Amino acid sequence: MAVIFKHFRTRFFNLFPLILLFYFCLSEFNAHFRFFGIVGFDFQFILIYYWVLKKPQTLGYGFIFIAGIINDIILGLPLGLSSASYLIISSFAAYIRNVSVTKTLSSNWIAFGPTLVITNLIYVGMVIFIADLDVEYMQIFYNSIFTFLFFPIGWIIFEIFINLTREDTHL
Amino acid sequence: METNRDDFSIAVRSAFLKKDVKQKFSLFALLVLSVLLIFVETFDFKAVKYTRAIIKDLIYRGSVLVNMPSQIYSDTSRFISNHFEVYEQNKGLKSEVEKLSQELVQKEYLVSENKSLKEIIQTKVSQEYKLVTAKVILDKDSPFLKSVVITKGSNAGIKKGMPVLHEQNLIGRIVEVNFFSARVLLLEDLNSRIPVVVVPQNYHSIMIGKSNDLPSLKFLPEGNELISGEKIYTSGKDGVIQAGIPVGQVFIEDNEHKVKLFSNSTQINFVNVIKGEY
Repeated sequence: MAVIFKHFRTRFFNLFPLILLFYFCLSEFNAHFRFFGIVGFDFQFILIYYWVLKKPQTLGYGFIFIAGIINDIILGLPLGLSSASYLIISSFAAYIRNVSVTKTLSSNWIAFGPTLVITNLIYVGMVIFIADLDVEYMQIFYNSIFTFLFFPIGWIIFEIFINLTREDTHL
Repeated sequence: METNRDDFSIAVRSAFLKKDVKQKFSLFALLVLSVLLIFVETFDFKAVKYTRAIIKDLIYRGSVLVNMPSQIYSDTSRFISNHFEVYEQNKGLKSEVEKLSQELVQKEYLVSENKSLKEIIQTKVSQEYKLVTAKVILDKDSPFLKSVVITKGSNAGIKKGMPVLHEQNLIGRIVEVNFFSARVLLLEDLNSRIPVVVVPQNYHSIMIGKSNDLPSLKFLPEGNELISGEKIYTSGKDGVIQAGIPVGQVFIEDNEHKVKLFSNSTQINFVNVIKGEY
């Protein structure tokens, strides 16, 4: 019984980041994280960037792609837009993982800035030119700023999660 | 210098083209697939449309399930706060009922007078609309779209462009139809444009959504004398939305003509879609 429970717990901890990603895409979590009308952030960006950078085997690129499709459907955007932006974040994270030896919070936080800017520029470009929608530039700007500022909090939470589950997971 | 360039190209190739440990697809392949999907979205083939509608229906239902705990929590807290407000509201409502019953008598007279006048000038006397009531299942806020998803779709005869009401007031129009669900673009959205008329002066205007702010009135006649509180109705000039649906009232702020909507789109559980032919 204990072995089965341990096996289940290990499996759950391994899948937890993926479950979290799908939960954020499917739920109205982002909508609830809008304070004072401006403070909103894309937790999915932080989650994908962190896990592709630190433990790439946890989130499969295929699953990231599907999460993006779900997010587009929920938000009413043309299919493929969020997938493309999630995969761009993943590409940056994979590139940074390949070129860097040490992965400290400060170095990755700094690298997250340009990643976010380029990803959001491509995303907004696609929304305007392909989806032909009007966008609120200030809201996207605030979103990017707060996503960048919240990155260390996300990082610390995930680090704590990894440390707590180190014995259980095969990460 | 050449070594640096080699390192860069190796790192890029490794990140984009090579499949990582336990990865079934390369990033490059998936990125190409995403871009292809965006273009497929612009095609209007029946097969693509049906597949898209089925997938969207399934995901909307999945989202409802995932949101159920938070929905129950927010419904409960709203119920409790509403309960405490009930006593105060009751007092105000009693006096309002008295006032409205007086106005109703006056309105009945005006309606019959209007009908007989229309008969005299031989116009279509009345337009009967069929309403379809639907429940709001998703109202996820996004930086791009202010919209809600409702539980009725093409199965209930809903079509793109149909106006959507909350009680008697306009809140938006249908922009996407699936088999068992549809998406309503709210009046607050940046992409919303509704032809309206301001009474009693009969100024025609276009109401434009402003996302985080109140919608504004554009193309008003120069030198207009609008004042805050004047009522706004749909004008029906687009040939899609029926005329005379209540929208909101004028609110002037910083010399800008804004619209205070009659219905608060964040507090909507049920909506009515007008199905009648225009």
